[in-house]
Amino acid sequence: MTLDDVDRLFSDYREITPSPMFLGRVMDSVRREAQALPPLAFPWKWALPGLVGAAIAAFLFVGVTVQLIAKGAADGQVTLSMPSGLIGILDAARAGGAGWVATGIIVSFVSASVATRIVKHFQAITNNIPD
Amino acid sequence: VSAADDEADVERVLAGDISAFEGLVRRWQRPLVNLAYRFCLDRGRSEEMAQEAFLRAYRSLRQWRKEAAFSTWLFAVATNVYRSKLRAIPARMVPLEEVTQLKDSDPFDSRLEDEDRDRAVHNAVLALPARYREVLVLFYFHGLDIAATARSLGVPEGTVKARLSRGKETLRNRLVGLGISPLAQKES
Repeated sequence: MTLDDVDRLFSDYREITPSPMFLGRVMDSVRREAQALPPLAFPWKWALPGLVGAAIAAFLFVGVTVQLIAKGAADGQVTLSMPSGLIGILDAARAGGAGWVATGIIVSFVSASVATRIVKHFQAITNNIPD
Repeated sequence: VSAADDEADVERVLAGDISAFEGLVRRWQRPLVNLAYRFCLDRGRSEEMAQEAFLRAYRSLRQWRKEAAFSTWLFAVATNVYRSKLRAIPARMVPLEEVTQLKDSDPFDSRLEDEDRDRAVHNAVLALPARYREVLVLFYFHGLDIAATARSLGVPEGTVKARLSRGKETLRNRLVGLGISPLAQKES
């Protein structure tokens, strides 16, 4: 057997005709697809203020934590030089449980972004379309 | 098949007239089903695969940038769908009884011999690694056109040539091992 014989074997492939139902089945699936609601986009516009707030809260949380650690290390003496206004804000934030709120927001944001990445990853595998 | 018809139908679909997609399916159902059949060698499955390819094309219709013919884009979409399906089918060993049946078949019954040969060839193709299977299938489907095969696969023509050469050689060796020889059959 030569490579030409391989060519001949392949050229002997018989043609098949799609069944009469095929067109209808395809169009049914296309219509179903068209009627399906598009996937919800992430509402960045609405989420942005929350994300900014979360970033500020995280900054405050880190600041308070650092201050507490420094305070503990100095055995009860706060040595960090911070503007008095900021210290007031930190005290108020600490009293209002801002640290926990910030932690909650950060955890939510991280879990949402991880979930989005996972979904996008599987969509990329499923919809492996060339550009 | 008119490229202008394809473009007009695509425009209508994108404008919201879903029924225009029917024209595209009508024109391309036969090639897509046949391409799928060559990938899976199963008639029922080939229609399922072609249906999925059309649905994928519908979803991503906006991605057709009209730089290439609609058919080129459609075949690339379909090839991607079929390749992923093909890769889900593991390469398999040809059962020994099929080889025995082929060699022991009545030499005077040419119809049976042809069927046996087809089945054995199909099995040998299915037993090839996916990268060789897909390039062989597309090369012969596109009428021995390396450029069209490369476009469908989205790889350079050199890659197609290399895989084609290696795939054909591997297939030839396997077919010889199965006792298949078109020349011998013609003589008998």
